[in-house]
Amino acid sequence: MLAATATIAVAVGGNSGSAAGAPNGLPSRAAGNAGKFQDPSAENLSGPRSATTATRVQIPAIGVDSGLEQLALDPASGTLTPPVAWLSAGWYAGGTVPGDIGPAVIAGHVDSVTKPAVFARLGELVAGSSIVVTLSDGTAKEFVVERVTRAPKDAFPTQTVYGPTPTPQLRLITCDGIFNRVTGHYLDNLIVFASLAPR
Amino acid sequence: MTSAPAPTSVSSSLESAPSGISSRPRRRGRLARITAVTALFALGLFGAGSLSAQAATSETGSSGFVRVAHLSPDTKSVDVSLTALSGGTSLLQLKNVDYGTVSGYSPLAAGTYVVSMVPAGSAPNTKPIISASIDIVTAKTITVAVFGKNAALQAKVFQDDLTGPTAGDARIRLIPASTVTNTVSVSTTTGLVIASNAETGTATSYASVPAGPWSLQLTAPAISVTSPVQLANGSVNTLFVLDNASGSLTVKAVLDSAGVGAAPVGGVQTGGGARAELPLLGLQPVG
Repeated sequence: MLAATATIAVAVGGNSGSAAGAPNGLPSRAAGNAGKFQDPSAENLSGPRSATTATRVQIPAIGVDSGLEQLALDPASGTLTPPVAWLSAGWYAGGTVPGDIGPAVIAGHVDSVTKPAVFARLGELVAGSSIVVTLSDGTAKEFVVERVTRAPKDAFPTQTVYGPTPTPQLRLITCDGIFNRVTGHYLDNLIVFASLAPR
Repeated sequence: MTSAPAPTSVSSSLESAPSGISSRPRRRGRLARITAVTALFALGLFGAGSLSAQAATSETGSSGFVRVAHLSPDTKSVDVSLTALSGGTSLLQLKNVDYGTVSGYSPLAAGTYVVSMVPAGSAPNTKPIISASIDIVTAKTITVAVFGKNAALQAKVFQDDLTGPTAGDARIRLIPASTVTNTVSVSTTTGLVIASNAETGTATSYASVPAGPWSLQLTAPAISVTSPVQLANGSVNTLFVLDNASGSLTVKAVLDSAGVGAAPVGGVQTGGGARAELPLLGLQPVG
């Protein structure tokens, strides 16, 4: 195996030079050589989930500055329980922490029975709008809106909204469409897709 | 789970060893035996690629994604630069990437790019210690890994499959990058086999395991160690097998993708009806 390794080094040296016939690759061997084995970095740029929680969401473009309720799934139906307060958004605490890889989810009411609510103007967001989520450790994560979509609740794009992503993402969800007086619910959801802003 | 004999999209600018040798006919006789060994080695590297199942990412837009892994145990920190094959300014720069670091994914428009590494802190236009050309395909996700000893650096592109597992599970694959052993077997301490004799520089297929903490048993000739990993519900992970400073092995688990975990059922009831029922409020209809 040693012999094979040495031979490959020749190929590497030849290639990293200007022509395939470079002498023996010695210069590039020296570059960056630590001279000994190192322990792997403990840092994980794409590591396990954070222990922090999301505590605040701010969306300057539509005047939102709200604390975040900690949302969970309804044990019976499996649906996401919306925030208790009309004027407060909520973060799905059973899901992704904003800034971690995956889709973090924040929901808020569009209106109460009598008034506009926290996410009344969510539909005004456009690609490029900024969303800042503050975590329990005080760090702020900025997301940039990619697109805004609307979908019927009975054909909710579960995979698109909640499915795996290779990067940190954020979803904002509120209600939209026609209000059904019988059920007391809107028929559609409005969903904002956002990505973590480049550092 | 063994190494998947799937084709890869590798187009490393590093020539494989045999072609490097053939450029030196003078030495061919002396290196004949080495050539044979090297060819086998290269076959192992390029024949056993990563699985490239459909990357079912939910939010890939019109781009693909790339991340970079520094897996060479005796190579110091590097600066990474990515440019279009056609040249131009650097589109992505990662500074001071040390051994064992796997970057986050960066979105890139489809096309061909060149990734190059220089020793950290090098002056501009420093000759790269290694470079590789990569193809970015829309909605596909790749890992560019640089591995091997510093004197024999290699670059390889792995296709990452972000398809999520079923609820309660995590998906994992192994990319051995040890330079002290050519093959490694990995099983959980509960006896579940993750990989048998997986070769350095290859990727196994992804397999589903229950989410949670696991203790992994790594075995290779003269080596037997355990390494803990934490696998989140709904996550897809690559387990890199790496050398450590004492010449033994360790596992670094890195997220390829993550879903929300336990996904809510259906839509969310986030309205009281004022906008619809009380139009005199003057609320703007949406949509």
